[in-house]
Amino acid sequence: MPTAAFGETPPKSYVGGEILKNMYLYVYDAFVQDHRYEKEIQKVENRLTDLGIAGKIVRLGLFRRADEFIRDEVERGGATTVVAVGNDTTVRQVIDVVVDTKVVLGIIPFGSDNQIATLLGLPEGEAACDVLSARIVENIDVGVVNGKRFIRSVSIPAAKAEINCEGNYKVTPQGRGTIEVRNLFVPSEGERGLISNPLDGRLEAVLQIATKSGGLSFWKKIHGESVLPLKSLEVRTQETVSAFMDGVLIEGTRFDFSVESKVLKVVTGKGRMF
Amino acid sequence: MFNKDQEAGRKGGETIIAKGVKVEGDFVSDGNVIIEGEVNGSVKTAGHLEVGDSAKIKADVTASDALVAGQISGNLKVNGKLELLESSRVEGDIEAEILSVASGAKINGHITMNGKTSTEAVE
Repeated sequence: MPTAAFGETPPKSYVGGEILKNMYLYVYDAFVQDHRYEKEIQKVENRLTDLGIAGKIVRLGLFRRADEFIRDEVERGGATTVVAVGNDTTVRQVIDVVVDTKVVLGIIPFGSDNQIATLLGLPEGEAACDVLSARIVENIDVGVVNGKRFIRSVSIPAAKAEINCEGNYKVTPQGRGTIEVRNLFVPSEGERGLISNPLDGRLEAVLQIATKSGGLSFWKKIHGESVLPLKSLEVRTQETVSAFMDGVLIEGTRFDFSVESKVLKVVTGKGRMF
Repeated sequence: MFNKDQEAGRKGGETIIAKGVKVEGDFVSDGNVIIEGEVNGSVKTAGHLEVGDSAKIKADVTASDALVAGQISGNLKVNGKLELLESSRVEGDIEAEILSVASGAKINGHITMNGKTSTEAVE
């Protein structure tokens, strides 16, 4: 695939009666440039060309920040769709600039840790090109923690914590428990839990606490799961904890959450799970 | 209190306060609420309220409909049907359109239905 925008029959959008050409920008994560993905990348590039949705490529490296390049390509080059070629970490690297510039996000999943793509109904590798071409765009919510955006969830490990909910009430777990703040979540088969829908304008704070049951089974621990749908919340932990935001490590004792309603335009597949 | 089938049928938007969690303040929800933990303050929901048998609520409670198996210390106002199960205990006034009280349920307070006060204490 050449590094300049091209495409024989680019798909078109109709906005206010005006025909607009969709220009694609592909952001390759560093790991997909490895030899083991060479054949699959070639197949993807061929399929994109066949579908007429090939575009400029930005290759991420150790010392290359994605947001600066993407912002430049969107603002100067006129890219209307940014496609993350990689996994959840790749998506995390482009999400801020995609939301800020109001372009559409596409994903071509590669490798492991592709939960966001799975939830959005995007198949891996070459098959994702057809979904991208079909261009079913959904406006979804994005969660924000300490000023950083996330799509899926933030997991805070077992710690003594206090949660202030929308400034109205305080929730205190009676013991150590894990806290997960979800924007997009679908329980896998056999797993308990409620769907967190990224179209409802809320986050779900899920607390799992081990408590001792009474009676003969006094020493047996049972787990209670609390679920709180909220627009904003503050989590305070007694000690510094390592939390994971869409798989990315963040540390601290203060985690301030809010939701940005329907700000992320994203290409979804028919198999989307919400 | 609730079986796995009931849990599997639950959809998003529901609030669950499980055993082992304490809530303090003014709790407001526009969806269904399940309480099995402790609540101090006030509870107001436009949806259905279920109070599990391990729940301890010290608050005035307002709900559209309610099923109570636990303890409530405070006034309970239900716009539709209020069902008090045998393990329930209410220390406060009750206002409801339809009331169902199981044998063994304890009520200490006034009961008002359709604006008419009917009794002070029932056991």
